[in-house]
Amino acid sequence: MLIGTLFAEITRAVGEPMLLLSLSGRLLGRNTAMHRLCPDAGIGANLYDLVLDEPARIAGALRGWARSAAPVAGSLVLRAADGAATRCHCFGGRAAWVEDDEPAVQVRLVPSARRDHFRRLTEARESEFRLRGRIDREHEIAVGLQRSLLPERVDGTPLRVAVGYVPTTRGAEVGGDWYDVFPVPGPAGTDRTALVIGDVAGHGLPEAAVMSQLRSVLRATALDGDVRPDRAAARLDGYIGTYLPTSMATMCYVVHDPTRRTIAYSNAGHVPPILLRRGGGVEVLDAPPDPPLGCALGEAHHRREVPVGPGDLLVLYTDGVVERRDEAIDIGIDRLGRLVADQVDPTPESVCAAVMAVPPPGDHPDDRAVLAARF
Amino acid sequence: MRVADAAVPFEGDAFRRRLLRELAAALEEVVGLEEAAGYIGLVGQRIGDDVSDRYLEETGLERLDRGQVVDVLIDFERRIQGDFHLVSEDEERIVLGNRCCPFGDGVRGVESLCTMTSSLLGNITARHLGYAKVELVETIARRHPACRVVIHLRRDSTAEQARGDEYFGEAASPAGNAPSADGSPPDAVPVPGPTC
Repeated sequence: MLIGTLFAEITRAVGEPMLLLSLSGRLLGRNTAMHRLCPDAGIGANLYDLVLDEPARIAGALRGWARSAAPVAGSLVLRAADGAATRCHCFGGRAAWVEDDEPAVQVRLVPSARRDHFRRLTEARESEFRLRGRIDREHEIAVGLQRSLLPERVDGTPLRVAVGYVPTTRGAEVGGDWYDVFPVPGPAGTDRTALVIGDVAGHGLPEAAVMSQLRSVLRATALDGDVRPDRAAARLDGYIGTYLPTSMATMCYVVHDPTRRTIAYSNAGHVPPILLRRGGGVEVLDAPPDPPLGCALGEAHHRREVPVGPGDLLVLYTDGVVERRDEAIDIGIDRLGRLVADQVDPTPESVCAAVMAVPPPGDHPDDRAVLAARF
Repeated sequence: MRVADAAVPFEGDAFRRRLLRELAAALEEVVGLEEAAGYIGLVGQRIGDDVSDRYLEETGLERLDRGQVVDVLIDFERRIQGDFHLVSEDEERIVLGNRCCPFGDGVRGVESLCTMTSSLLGNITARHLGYAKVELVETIARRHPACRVVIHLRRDSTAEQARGDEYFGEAASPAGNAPSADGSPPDAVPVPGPTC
């Protein structure tokens, strides 16, 4: 794989612009955010043509970054897409993994406008109130749109299913969490059911549109007949790679087969499902997940199969349910497992209600979605 | 009592150390340890270059060998009131100990200042020996009783497994688009317009 392609894949999910440069200023790679900020920054371009700083200053910055693998601060004044000068704080370091004729550096850019934006907010309270009103309105629209993209009903299969969902509370941001429940066609009388939960990286309307596409593509894939979960995941991976190359998503796709009394699932970078046995035991299905959709780089997805019996209850959820700042995610998963295990006479509805009743951390919690199904 | 007679513990050097610690701590709080390390790393790089230049100028040498690098590191740290000493030295690594942090007693908990030490030691070493990976095995800032610093000199599997920051000697100016030694752009590179 070419260095630039590899760099773009690795940094695809990074929200801030990133560059991979040779010491002489030749552009070896860039991520999607960089392309958005500066479309002229294509592979092979020269940094000296893209920025407005004095050449000696650029050369000094490149040399300084090449001397340290740990990111070192700096700044560049970039010629942005609209022709305006955009001052960026930079953190650059030696990209020792690049084998090229000359040393390479990787640089993360933080456009200063973003910092200025926040400063203006704190300085002008009147402006803040006006903005907050607009954000609230946009948020209502965004949440309404997202809800319209999720299934209205989850009771169209033989399984008893409940969902809980609380979107993010940040302005016009709309969460990328998604879930779905639908019957899977198969040999007569099998009544198989697909249970899906996922999370598209990012919090914008484009990500909500991606979520909607993935949901549709997965349903269409399942219509093909006896498609194994790992192959369905691979199909979505290929779809993202081909049609949504700047996107990334996690997904756990589960198919319940009542005849074989099993669930088969494929986990693409998602938090592990939790299985509450009828007798009260809790199992975290924590087999190593595959890479997220859009990041597999040709790696095969895996299928796992677990026996289930009548009365067992499966809990799927998104990372917003278990993640806490400054805490390993395993701790949150253990906490969720205990919460599920502590339910008296658990039903899908009571489990979802209990999970949603836990206060989210911080002022701006991430989306939280949970789906519970009883077999 | 006159204000001028008050026994408040302010004197130039201690105040400057305190100032540096507070700056580093404020930076850590505001932008986080990772970005704070980026700014402090830049300062360490510049000071490391200045220290190297001054020792070369005073000794009349053009480049330092391993033994001279060790001498410079220890001498410099002692001059700024650290208490560094050589634990061991061979072709693969230099191990230094330190019983007194040059940033003073209040350094405990301000880990970003360790980036400064790592950057200084790493930049000086890499400049003369080509490569350095500085592993801060124990540090007073992390509340150990003393510092123990291992500077790996070879980019081998041992260095790869060590936790620390890597530093590289300045590479020769590459051909092609590289600016010339005085910093002016090469002929092939258009000179950009004035900086906004």
